[in-house]
Amino acid sequence: MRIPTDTGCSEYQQMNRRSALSALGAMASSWIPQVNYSEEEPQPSIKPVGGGGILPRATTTRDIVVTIFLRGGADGLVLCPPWKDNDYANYRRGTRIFPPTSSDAFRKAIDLNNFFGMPQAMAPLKSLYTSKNLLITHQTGSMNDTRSHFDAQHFMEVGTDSKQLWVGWMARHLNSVAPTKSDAVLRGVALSGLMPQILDGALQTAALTDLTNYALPGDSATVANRLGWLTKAYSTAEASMSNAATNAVKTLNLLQTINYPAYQPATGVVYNPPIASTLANGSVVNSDMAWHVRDFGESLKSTAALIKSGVGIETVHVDFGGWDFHRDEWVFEGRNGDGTANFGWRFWFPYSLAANLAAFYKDLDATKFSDGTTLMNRVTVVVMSEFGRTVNENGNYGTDHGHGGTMMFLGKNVNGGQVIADWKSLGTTGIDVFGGLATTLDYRIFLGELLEKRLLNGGQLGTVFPGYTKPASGWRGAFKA
Amino acid sequence: MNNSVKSPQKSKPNAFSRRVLMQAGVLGLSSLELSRRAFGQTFSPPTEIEGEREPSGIGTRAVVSQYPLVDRMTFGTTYDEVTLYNSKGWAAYLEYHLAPEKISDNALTNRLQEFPCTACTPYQNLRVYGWRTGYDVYYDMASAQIVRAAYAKAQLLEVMTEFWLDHFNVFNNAISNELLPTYVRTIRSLALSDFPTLLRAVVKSGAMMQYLDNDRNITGQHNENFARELMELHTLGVYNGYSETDIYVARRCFTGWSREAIDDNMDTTTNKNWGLFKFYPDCHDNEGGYFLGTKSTDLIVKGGIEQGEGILTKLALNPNTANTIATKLCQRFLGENVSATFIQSTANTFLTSNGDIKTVLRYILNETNFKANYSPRFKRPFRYLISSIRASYGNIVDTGDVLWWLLQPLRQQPFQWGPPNGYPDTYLAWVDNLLPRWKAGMGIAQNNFWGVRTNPFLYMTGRTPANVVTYINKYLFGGGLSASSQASLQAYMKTNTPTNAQIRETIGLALSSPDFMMY
Repeated sequence: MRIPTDTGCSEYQQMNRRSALSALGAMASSWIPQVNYSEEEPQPSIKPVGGGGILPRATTTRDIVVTIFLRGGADGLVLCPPWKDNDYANYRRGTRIFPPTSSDAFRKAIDLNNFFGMPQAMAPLKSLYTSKNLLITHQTGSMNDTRSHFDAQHFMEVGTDSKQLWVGWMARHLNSVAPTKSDAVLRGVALSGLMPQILDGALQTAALTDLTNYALPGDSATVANRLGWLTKAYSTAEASMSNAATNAVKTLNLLQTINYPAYQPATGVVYNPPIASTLANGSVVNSDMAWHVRDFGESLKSTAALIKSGVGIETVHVDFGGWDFHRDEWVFEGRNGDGTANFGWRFWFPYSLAANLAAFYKDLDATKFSDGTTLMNRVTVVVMSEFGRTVNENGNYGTDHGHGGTMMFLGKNVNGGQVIADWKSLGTTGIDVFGGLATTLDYRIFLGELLEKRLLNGGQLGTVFPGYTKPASGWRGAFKA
Repeated sequence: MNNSVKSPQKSKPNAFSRRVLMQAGVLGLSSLELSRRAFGQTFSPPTEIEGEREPSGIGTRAVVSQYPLVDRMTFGTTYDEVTLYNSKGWAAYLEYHLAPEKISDNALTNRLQEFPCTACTPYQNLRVYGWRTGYDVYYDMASAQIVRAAYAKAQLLEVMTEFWLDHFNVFNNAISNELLPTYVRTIRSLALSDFPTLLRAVVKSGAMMQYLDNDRNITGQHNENFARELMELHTLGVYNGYSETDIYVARRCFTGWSREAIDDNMDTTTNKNWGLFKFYPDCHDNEGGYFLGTKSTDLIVKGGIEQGEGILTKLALNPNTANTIATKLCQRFLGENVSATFIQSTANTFLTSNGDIKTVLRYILNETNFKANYSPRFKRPFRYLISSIRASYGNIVDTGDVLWWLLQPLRQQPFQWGPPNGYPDTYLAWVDNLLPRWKAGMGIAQNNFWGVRTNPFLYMTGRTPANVVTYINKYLFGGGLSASSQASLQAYMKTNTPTNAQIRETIGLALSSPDFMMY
């Protein structure tokens, strides 16, 4: 996006200079995560190596959960192609991922378990799969048959097939447990312009789009007075607005504390990394990640800073939109100026997903504790989408709205290194009556297990996911207890 | 006369609202802290979720303005608009705005010269006036939306144009920007026409065909995207009287509906219709089928473009479509608590007038019906910003600045909503969006943003705190600001001789206050 650079406004220049100066000053002494140990909290017995850092917790406390929603209906048959299903190649032509043995360097799968694979664009996640920190599920999603993005997203975010219910399942979880940090200002943050349904209805939550530019304009000497006036004015407003105002003021203060502009990811971690390709003359060129998938990387970088700050945030939600590929989903391959191949533009989506998740993992994994654990022992990432797509391609090398898809879970508390699926062959019952990939695993089989084992709130299963009960056959072993 | 509105809670005593949940949550948490600190007891969940219902409206807060009709029919009350309303009276004011073609507005016409792309066809932008493409076109289009909303005299036309642009949303990043000007001109020119005509014109546009992929929906290579959203969003409502089978029939009937010269290289095109709607008979699957029923009248017979036309005819005046449009119009103009009975009678008006938009608006906005059915609304960000500028008589000197420094953080830039359902229109969707509003309101009042210049001192009789509050009440709130809100603004100045900076800060607070978020 083009941002005007030639504003002649002196206030802006001052503001920019100020924040640049403070950023420089902070960089000189490196960004220090804030920790406010409350006297009520147990005194830390496990200290982060190098001081500062996340609030240490006993291993029995809850994970911080990062939820990522791929809006638009992500295609599970591209994100995790069942390359060995005998009928896969019959349905998928342009969007087909070839077997790992193929000579096509761009379209051959990275093998996962001799049945499922990953597209080349997701190579950055392969090592996390191998190290058993990445779990993928397939033919997963809502059992509801709707093909409407908006209904399907609503159902998945409120945790049940109801248009009347509107409180998100994560919000219900937060509402039903005590904060992990009793003096936490915010418990949930959505890195999004609007409050997503998943977090709607909980106190101490905020929707934020930009952690860098939050200050109120005008005289900094009167900011406190102005905020004081607003706090009072909003105290008598309608409850949701009053709550939003309280959170806005707290957020301003919190962001001041976190000082995100000075945040430096761990050594060697690059969000939105460029992608390399080799020219005919043997030299390697780096292409910048396309602008329309960069927001996701920026959001994960912000998420890392929020978590490392140790301010008591229990959940962060990130929206990654644009997955509704009704056409041209097949553009896996593009061209450099000299005609050599590089990644095609549709692959920027899975590439951004994979490369930024890998960067996020590495960033948090670098915060180590004296007992040998890292922040990734305390964080679980959930990736979901409202539905998958039709098994058959439409006429435009794209796919229409389908049913089952994939979910992904990332972290050290995940039983990774496997693809969990009750796979129905595409040649038999793997396609539902409307042509979508079948859904054999309700998404709540995994979220319910997450709630029990990682959010330690299994007793509230029926509250968080109204009407849902633990399957008689038990959970699927997605998470460590 | 202060138009305070009855609480929706009172009229719907069984509704379990977010408000109630929030209060319960607050109680739960404070008792938690109390118990943990004092007694070390364990935590118990603060609320029960059973009975949770989608809350509607925004509770008990009164509409501040004395001129709610003016607020709803415009992008924000100004002193001039109130004067106009007072001189005409309710009915004549409504009729004045329902006839925008009679409103002469040379100042706007002159101002729009700054954005020449808006008046052109795709071909003209690309080939006649040089090579105006991509961001050049987007910049002009977004700028014109801002300038028109802020300054057009024919405000209801702008409000309705925005309404239909939400209803028939297109996302500028998902289409060739050169197609936008024609699309928006079509919608504006038909915003007060009749729904069947509008629907047909929107469908027969290059922009919509490209946005929902119908330009690629050809025989043997079906793409259902447009057919689905046509029924789900534009007409019947989600699964409201149609099935997946109907979508398959419709997508087949719309094969070949596309845009001119879809595969031409833009560099070489000399096609003056480039990017406009075109039907390709060769790409059309002429097979027919039953649509929305199995009676003989439900059969779409074998044929060409008339198949899609037939589908549009069946959809445009379907009772479920009437309900969709009535619901959305009532929500936009009256609020989120309109009774099902009134929505139904509005839908009936839609049907009996064959979808005549002016007739429906007259029904909703006449004095009796309006006063009986309206409730407070929370401004959406675009309206919040524009109403701040209008109330302050702000001078937009740089629309790019408004677009990127104000509307981008506010998250409501024109044509920037990705999914086809349009920007949300509910209180709860936007209520968490206060921080960017405070920055915008303060920035406008304090002249912190280059793009909008304000000078409130032109409208004050003096610079005492009382003068300042009088100005705020008269210009920003149409004279309806409560005594307590006035007193608290006056108290902020803390002196009888406030500096100009203090005065501007006070106005900034008024623009950031909960009172100004409402209309």
